[in-house]
Amino acid sequence: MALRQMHEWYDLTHETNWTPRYVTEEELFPPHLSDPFGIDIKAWESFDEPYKISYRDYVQSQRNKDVGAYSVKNALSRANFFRNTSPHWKALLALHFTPVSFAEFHSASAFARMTRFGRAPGMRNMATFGTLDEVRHGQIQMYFAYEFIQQDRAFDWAHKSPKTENWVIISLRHALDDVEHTRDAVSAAIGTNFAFEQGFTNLQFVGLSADAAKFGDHTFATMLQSIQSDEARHAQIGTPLIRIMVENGRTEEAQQIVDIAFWRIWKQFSALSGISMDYYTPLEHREHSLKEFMNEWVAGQYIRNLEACGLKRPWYWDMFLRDIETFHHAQQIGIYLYRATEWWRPIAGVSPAERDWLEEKYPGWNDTYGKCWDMVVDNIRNGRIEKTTPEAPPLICNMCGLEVTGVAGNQWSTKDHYLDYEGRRYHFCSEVDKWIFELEPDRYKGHKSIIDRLLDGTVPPGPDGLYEYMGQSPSERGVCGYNFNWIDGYESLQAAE
Amino acid sequence: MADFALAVNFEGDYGFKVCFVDDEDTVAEAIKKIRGQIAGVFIKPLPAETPFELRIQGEKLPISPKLMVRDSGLIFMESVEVYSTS
Repeated sequence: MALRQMHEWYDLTHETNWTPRYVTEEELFPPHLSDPFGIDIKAWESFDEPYKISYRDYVQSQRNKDVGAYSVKNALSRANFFRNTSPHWKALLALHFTPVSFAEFHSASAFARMTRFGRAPGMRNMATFGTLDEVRHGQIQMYFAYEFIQQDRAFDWAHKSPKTENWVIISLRHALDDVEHTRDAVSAAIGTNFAFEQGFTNLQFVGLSADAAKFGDHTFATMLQSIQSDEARHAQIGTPLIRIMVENGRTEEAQQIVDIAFWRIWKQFSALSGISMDYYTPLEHREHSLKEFMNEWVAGQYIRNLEACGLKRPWYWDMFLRDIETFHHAQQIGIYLYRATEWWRPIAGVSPAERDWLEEKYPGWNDTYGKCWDMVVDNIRNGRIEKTTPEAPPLICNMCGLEVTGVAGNQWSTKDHYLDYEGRRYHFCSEVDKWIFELEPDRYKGHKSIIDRLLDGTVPPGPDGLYEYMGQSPSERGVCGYNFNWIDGYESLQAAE
Repeated sequence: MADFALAVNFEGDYGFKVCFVDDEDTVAEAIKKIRGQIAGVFIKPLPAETPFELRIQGEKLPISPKLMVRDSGLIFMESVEVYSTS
């Protein structure tokens, strides 16, 4: 018997619903988990995704992708690759695999909740595939990361990191919990699929894969591209939802969700992708700066996507454009100097040639962030290594969980956007982070940054107290990936002069 | 005598730092401790004799260097700016 073609039956699935007889609609789909906006089921049944796939086709295409990614991995000898690769690339691989793997795996639970609690049948179908995608993404990245564990224990953090209270992980977990895991299915999908996935995953999975291919790490490049092909499919869930929200008088609510999610995820990707692209990718293999990629592939496209849905650019757009040029540069200084609080081996990425590149891509870099690096270079060159480990901890933003930073050097400009709420002072790195808090202070007020935990005694006392609290044994505390030998670039320059 | 933390924006630095002083320090002594924790680590130090002031973020006037921290009106984890005046 011939099988029917997909187009003959697919649209039926958009109206495949049921009428509950033993429980009420509200018990089956509690509003706070499902749809708190009170939109009629007929509106939800108009959900229509652009890219359609059946389970049969899904299994086949995913199998082909896995065969492709895993066969490239198997064909290339990776043990020698890792042993011989530069500390730049080792830092980049560790920075990618160890926080991203768990983020992907946890996304499976967010998609599973969309599958269960989505009112739109089409949304539930797509979220089912999204759940399987994210399980795949968690598994493939942990599996690829574990190849390196014999050479560097840092890669154990691909699995371990979400179980720790490391400050980097606190930051990432808070952002993902806020966007994906603690909202109703509609809000979580709009925030995750539209703002997070459509907005940013191209940055890490396409932009970085170009750098990886250029560097010659074809295993990593192929894996990233394979993951992103899934992303392009399940990221489409958000757009039809926004359309339904706008058509049913919920434009303001949809706008707020995307504006919150976009900024929260931007902060994470600024640190992750910004440092990877502008500092960790070896200079000769860089395809784009963060700023170039963001302006060409993200910023414009995101606005077009928003406007096509009937939404507007976020109120903070000018701040965002300025942040692209500044935030990750400041964070990189702290990531390097506070390297012991991280589990990988950070590199500085500021040799004279790299500084020339940074100056070209971000005019004024040497006059600003470069001034901090001048001090670091001076300390290393004169044997004051202890000065490259600061005594004073950084102030941490009570929303994004990263350092409260601004512009350094001769254009010094930094502001703490603090707020006093119910007798407690909260510190924020930007007006936007503060705005998010002020929208729902009771939602956020209970969370403590790593600095709050230091100050209130949650972190045990003693020289090892912080590290033990963050899950770092002595061998899991970051050291300079070059053992300060990157300073040789400066020595050579001085000799030439 | 008690530890007193301040959120410090030091001139030229890339971001705020949490600096610990003593609540019985004068503001001048606190500035000296803060300089010791930040200058020479994050940014190049100015000559030792360079005068510095401390003010609450957003205020125009500095806090008198002679006041003790606990009498200065500063709250725990106040956001302050430390800057040179020469």
